[in-house]
Amino acid sequence: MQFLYAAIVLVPLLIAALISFNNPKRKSTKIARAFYLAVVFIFTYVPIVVLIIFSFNSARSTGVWEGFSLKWYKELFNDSQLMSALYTTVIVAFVSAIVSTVFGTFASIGIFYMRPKVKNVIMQITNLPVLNADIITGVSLVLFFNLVSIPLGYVTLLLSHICFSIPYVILSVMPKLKQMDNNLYEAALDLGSTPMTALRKVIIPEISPGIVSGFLLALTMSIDDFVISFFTAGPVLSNLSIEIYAATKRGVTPEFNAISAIMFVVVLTILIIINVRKPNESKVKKSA
Amino acid sequence: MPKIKREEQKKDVRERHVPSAGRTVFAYPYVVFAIVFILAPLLLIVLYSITLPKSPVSISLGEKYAVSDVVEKLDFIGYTEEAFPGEAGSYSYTENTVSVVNFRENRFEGYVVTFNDGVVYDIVELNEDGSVFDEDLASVKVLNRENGFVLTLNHFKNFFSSTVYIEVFLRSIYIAFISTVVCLLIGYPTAYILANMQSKYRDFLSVLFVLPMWMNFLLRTYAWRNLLEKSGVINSLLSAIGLPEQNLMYTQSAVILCMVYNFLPFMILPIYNTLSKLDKSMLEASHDLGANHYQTLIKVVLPNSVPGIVSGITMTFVPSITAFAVSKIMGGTESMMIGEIIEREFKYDYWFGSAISVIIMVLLLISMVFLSKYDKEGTAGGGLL
Repeated sequence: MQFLYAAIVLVPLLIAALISFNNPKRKSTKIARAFYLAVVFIFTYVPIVVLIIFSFNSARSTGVWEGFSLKWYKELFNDSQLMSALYTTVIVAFVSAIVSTVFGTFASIGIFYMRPKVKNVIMQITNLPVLNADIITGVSLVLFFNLVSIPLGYVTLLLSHICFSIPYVILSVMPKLKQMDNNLYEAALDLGSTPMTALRKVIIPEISPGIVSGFLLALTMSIDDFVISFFTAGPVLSNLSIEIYAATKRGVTPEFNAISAIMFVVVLTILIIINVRKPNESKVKKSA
Repeated sequence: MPKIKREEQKKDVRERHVPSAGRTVFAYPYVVFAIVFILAPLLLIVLYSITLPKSPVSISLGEKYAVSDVVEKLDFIGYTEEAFPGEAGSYSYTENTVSVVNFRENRFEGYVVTFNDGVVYDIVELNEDGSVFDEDLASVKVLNRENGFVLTLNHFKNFFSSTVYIEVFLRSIYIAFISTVVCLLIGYPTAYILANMQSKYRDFLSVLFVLPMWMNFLLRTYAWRNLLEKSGVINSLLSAIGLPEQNLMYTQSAVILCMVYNFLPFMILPIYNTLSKLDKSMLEASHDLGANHYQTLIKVVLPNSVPGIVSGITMTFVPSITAFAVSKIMGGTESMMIGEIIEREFKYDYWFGSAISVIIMVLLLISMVFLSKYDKEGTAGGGLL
């Protein structure tokens, strides 16, 4: 029976996919493309929409609608455990994003001017946490913290978040450094500026789009993370992910729907901000 | 070919000639950080996987031991056999007794353990001159001769000789593989359609498709639980139109569905990025030479989007093979994955847990070497940016 349902959904989708690779001027192709995007869109958003709708449900059930209420939002803000988990998530996200952005930006500038061989080795090491499985990064950090006897808690959680965020900052600043015209810096020095001033007034403004996107990436990576936090937060401290994980085992309440709805709106806002920012950049480039 | 080489050399020289003016100093703190927090932990995990701590041997009254077992353990923690024990760190044994002597922190330690049919019958602690210090000890802990580790490959042997672990390992590969293939099958056309859209809303729409990526991973998983539960939305809809309720949760399909949902944006985004950078004149050339749209797709578009595909596969396969939350939340006991075993082992046995992690790392390394053949630009991981 389940296979039948799966086939009912998947077969038209595959046909639509095949048609949508055809001549884009044909009407059938246009329809197939619209249909395909619509189905994927629905698949992407139905769970989230259902989640948000049921956060306003007055009943405890997550499947049956029984009327509108803001009860779960009220309970969410009164749930001290969940609120402190949320607080931990936000604090760790901001602190780790700020630290790794500052640290990572300077690191990228340094690495960029290194000899190619050294640069290559360091970039390989930088890539490790990005390519490696989260669980391995997590447990290896636990082993390390254990060895140097740092007790698991806020410090280790922060350190591990910085550890996996920095590579993303470096990977988004590096391309901007490559695009930068190196003569600008030379010109600044020729015109009598000190290297530090040149860095502040020439290099940093040139690579600032990379820095900003690195910061946002670090922020979202930190909020999104579960696996690494699960290992490095220790037994007492918990962030939002850990709290949800624990709750799915003991049974969830629509409070979690409420918190998801809030997070979704926040993420949507951040992304809209990023996207409003982007076109401006390209306009500047075009006019320049 | 030689021309390209010369160009590469030129590029190399140019890069080398960028004046560093001492700016490399900025990277030093990071280099230290990376060695301490990225490299050292990974080396540590490899070290743990091939070692075993020398734990003390404890013997209690009334318990059953074979004399040979006790002797083997004493050997293991660094004691040597002598005819009559007297030297620090020596032991001797007969058919029914084991005598151990050691000096710890300049204090004499000597024990005689007597067995009766393999059961510990009597434990006596001795003074340095051989007289009895304490006649009826309940148990004795013979401590390590020297603290430390022994090299061993036993963890790997244990892993590969256990049918349970092998089954879980193969299942993880299977689930990750299926999820990756489904992600690719759904994600490629999506990215293709989005990249070929003639609309000023193209960028905004493509952001919408990868938006859930920035939501919390666990929330995404939890969202599907709402839909699939026994009393969830899908079942209430099914029963509303008179169809039988389905058992959707705690199945392997639920795990795969959730994996696909979680990792689909990671597949769409890198493919979209490569496809939207594709040189449109290449497509025109292909059409001018008489290829139809499907031939162009297979001969031009697909080969040119390989870096995106590779990046997407890496970003889907790597996290899905080790994801332990999804299978724990959505799956039953028959869909246990390797990540769950690592998580469980790390509660009490770091050594075995490390060995499993190393096995996974080797698997990932092999698949990356295999994939990097197709990914000349090394975009894996960078696909997110």
